[in-house]
Amino acid sequence: MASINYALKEISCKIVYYGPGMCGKTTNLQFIHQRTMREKRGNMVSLATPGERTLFFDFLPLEASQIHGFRTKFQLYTVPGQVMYNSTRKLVLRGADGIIFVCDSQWEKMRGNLDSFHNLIGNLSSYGYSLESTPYVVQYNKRDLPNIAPIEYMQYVVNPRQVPSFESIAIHGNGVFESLNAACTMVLAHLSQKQKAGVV
Amino acid sequence: MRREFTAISVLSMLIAFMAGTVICMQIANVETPSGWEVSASVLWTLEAAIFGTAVYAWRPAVSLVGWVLGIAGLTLVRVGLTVAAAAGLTAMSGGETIYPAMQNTADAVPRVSAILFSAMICYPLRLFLPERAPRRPADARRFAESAAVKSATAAAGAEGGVLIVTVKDRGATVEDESRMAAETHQAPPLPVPDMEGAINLPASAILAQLPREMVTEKALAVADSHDVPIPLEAILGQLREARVVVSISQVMEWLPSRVRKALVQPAELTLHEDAVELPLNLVVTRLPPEALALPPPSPPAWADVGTSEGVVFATTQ
Repeated sequence: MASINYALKEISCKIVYYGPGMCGKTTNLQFIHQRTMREKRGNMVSLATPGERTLFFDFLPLEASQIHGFRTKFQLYTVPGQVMYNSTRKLVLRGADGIIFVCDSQWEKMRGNLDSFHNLIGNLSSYGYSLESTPYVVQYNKRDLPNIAPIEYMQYVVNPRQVPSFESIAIHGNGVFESLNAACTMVLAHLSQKQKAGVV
Repeated sequence: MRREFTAISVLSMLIAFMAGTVICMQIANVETPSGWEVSASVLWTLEAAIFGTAVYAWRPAVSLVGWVLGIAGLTLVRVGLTVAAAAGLTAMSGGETIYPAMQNTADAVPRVSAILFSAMICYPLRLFLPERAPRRPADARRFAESAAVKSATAAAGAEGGVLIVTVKDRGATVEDESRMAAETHQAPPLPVPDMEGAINLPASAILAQLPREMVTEKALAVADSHDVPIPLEAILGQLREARVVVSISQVMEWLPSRVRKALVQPAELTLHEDAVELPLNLVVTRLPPEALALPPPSPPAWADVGTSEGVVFATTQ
């Protein structure tokens, strides 16, 4: 859950990168870590197996520009994509203010994308959240590969609500900051809406 | 572990028992020097201490039950040795009862030798002692304080701020897929467009999906020049599931008769029940654009950022 510290004039939010295994969630975080100014980010913590598969989560604290005089801090997390680590995914998802759902654009991963999306909905509902109440964007990653599905079909499968979506090549950084900026903007706008409504 | 206990182990135990008995008999025959007498309670305490230490030294992870069992077993063997030696002495001297001889074999010096030999005899049996359950880290705090994280934290500066903790995948949180499937949620249904017509897929691509034992060389050769019309109504309802599955009997109906005749139907195959997955990439790329039409966007309230100030991250390039 987002926290607002009025004394320090600081807003802190949690963004989770969700998606099937090997879709590029950690690559997103690595690129962000690489390209953000040292003084505006903390250490990136990556808990991985020797085969570089995320075992628990990746974590990167980040500071963005000031908004209305408030320092905005984002804690970026990734979940382990492998099917068997659902408890960990659920744990990381807890208290998420925004989600970036990363899809693998390859044809053979379509089913994996859909399963992961359903799993996201299921895990959110176990906390009483839903995609209706949690800001999220969809990122279509690996667009540089030859055997990829057209965006229209990917939208049809994982994004029928047509929330903001981005094509990306995370390994080269294309679309990485665009997705992050959109997700963070929506999270803050949502927070502001909730504040106005007196929910927060 | 228990494979280490072999016939040779049993043989060595027997030999040690016999040697122990003989040496105990020999020592019992030697008169104990004055001043070497030790009270029975001291001897029992010494014996329990030696056996307890031995069991722990052999198997440091032994459970409490295993430790007690080990001491009891060693004591039993030691008593057995003493009794066997006493029986041997009685037989040699032609005595009627073994009790007088047992007085001698239970003296301090023969008893110490019996203790040593019983340890030798029982050594191979240590493998059977139960161990205590391994301790598991209680919570994430322990992980955070672990040596792996500390060393990775120390190295983080050198790595440009990337902290990579590599840990062994123990599969601790492994869950079966069925549970995950049970937790999944069905996305809101999309209206299936009411469209007629068919798409043509290359027959060779469909044959590649059929069970290998069905497809003959002849069928492959004939299939090269044919397309198979797949009715849209069989496809559209499944597109949302990111796969298109049809029964083999349906595929057989759609195949050109020349190709169908060249196929073999294995006895164990049930055409109505067994299904094949059509190649999604070929299906989707041949669909008319209207087939993937989505209803007008209905983004949730949070997607309306309106005049909100955008978030900017300070990047290096």
